[in-house]
Amino acid sequence: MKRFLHNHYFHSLVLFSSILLLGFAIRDPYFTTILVFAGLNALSALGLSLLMGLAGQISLGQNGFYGLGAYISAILSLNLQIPVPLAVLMSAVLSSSLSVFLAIPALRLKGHYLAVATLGFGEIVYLLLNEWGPGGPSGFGNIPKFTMGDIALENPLSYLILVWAIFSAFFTLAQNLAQSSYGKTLQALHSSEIALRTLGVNILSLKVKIFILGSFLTSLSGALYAHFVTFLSPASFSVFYSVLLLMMVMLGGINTLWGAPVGALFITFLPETLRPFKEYDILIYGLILTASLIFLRKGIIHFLKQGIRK
Amino acid sequence: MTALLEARDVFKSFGGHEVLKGVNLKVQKGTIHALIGPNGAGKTTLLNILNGLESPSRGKVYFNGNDITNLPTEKRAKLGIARTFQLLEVFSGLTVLENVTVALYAKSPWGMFKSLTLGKLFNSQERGLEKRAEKFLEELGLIHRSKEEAQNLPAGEQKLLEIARALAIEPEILLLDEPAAGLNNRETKVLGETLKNLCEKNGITILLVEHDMDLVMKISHRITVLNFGEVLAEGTPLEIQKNPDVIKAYLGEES
Repeated sequence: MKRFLHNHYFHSLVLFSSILLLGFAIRDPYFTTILVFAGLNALSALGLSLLMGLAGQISLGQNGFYGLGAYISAILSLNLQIPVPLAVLMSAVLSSSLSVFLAIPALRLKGHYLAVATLGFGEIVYLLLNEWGPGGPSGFGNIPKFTMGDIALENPLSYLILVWAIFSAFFTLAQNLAQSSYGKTLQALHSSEIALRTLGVNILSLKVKIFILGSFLTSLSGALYAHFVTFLSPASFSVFYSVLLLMMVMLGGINTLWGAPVGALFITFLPETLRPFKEYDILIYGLILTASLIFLRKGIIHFLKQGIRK
Repeated sequence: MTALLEARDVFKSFGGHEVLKGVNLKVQKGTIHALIGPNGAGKTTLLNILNGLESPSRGKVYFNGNDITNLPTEKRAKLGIARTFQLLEVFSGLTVLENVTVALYAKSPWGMFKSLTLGKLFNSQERGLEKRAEKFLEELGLIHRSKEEAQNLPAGEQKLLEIARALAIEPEILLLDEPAAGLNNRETKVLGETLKNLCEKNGITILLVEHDMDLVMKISHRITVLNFGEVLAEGTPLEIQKNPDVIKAYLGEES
């Protein structure tokens, strides 16, 4: 029994059911919508957490994959009439395949250089969406809603189930990976690339693969975003999104994959709780973020664990 | 007889400064071969060239008679060349046991997809890994440290861990860069026994860079002395001890 309660399959299930319970209990469309966004952010952040937390490879270009995922899926379903679930999948695969072209040159770099190279990629995608995207800077709408067969996911509650089910599934897989020897190898990449090479590991291939996985998750999240809001403009895909993901991962806790959902829920809900402060909300938002990064340096998860131990 | 590992006329310069000036080295299979010399003689650079972390400016490297000069480090590891480091390179953040399982996994990986879907619990290939890793830790006397994080071990034990990790890829030859640094006398003695055992029982060839002369003289079959990037002398421990050039280089006598 104890073994059952202490494994990550069960934990993912608990997370999934708690979110659904919350959604069904509060039954407020606005609140549910925020929960959907939190789920999308969690999925994007999971990609970054695998990349940064586990493998130690920083990326500030996740906004590029989020944007590509969203635009490709929207265009596939809108212009080519491809069924939405298929378009979402195709878009995530296509967008993350494109990541290979970024990964192979960029991952030869390390640390700050890698950060700048990925930043450049995100910025290029952002500019391309502005120049060549449908509607240019003002964007385009009428993107089909998500339908599975006859069931249309019209209301936020049904989308909540979809997004968090997908997140929970990938969350479980990601934890599988982290616990496996493959995950330990990624962690080793973090501490000594040279030693890994002398053991016969092709580190470039290792990095490229985790980069593809990370960008797949962020692209998938972007695609799901497109069919939820049904309107896209480049503004949602600026570098600010990458910075937001970075904050989620750092604030949640970079040493654990749980940092992604916890950080995403925190950062997504924070501006909402600050509404009563009216024009001062951005100021307080900034202060809280700064304070959290100073006082919760190891992340919320670490802080909570310490609290439980005491 | 072809040597197991050979450096032929190897030159290496870093920005005009010549560190190696035409070094020839032959390591015979089944021997413990020591590489000694004063600091800055180019020993570590030669090790780096032998396992591909650096490429020579001129010259060739052969393994089992095959030219491996242009082979990257990871491919040389697959051929059977393992090494440890002078400056520690254990995987911090991983436990001692995990440091070795990573090496075992590297030897025969099963890839990302299987790891994503099966994780650790449902993958039968993961199960045997820890048991096998423990065997290597036992051999190096580190079994009581298995669950500790690698970076928390004293420097001496981290060196031993690097050896255990290198052995896990089942190499033909082990390149050791100052394995006794940071060990006390008793530990050094144990290390000497362990290395002898590895060579005699497991048939592993060892190329050893070491400053501890007692250890070198006791366990080596052959010794190469490097001085200012050149081979000063080569021979059995007895021959090296008597060689006037070596004595001069080590004691710094004026000629």
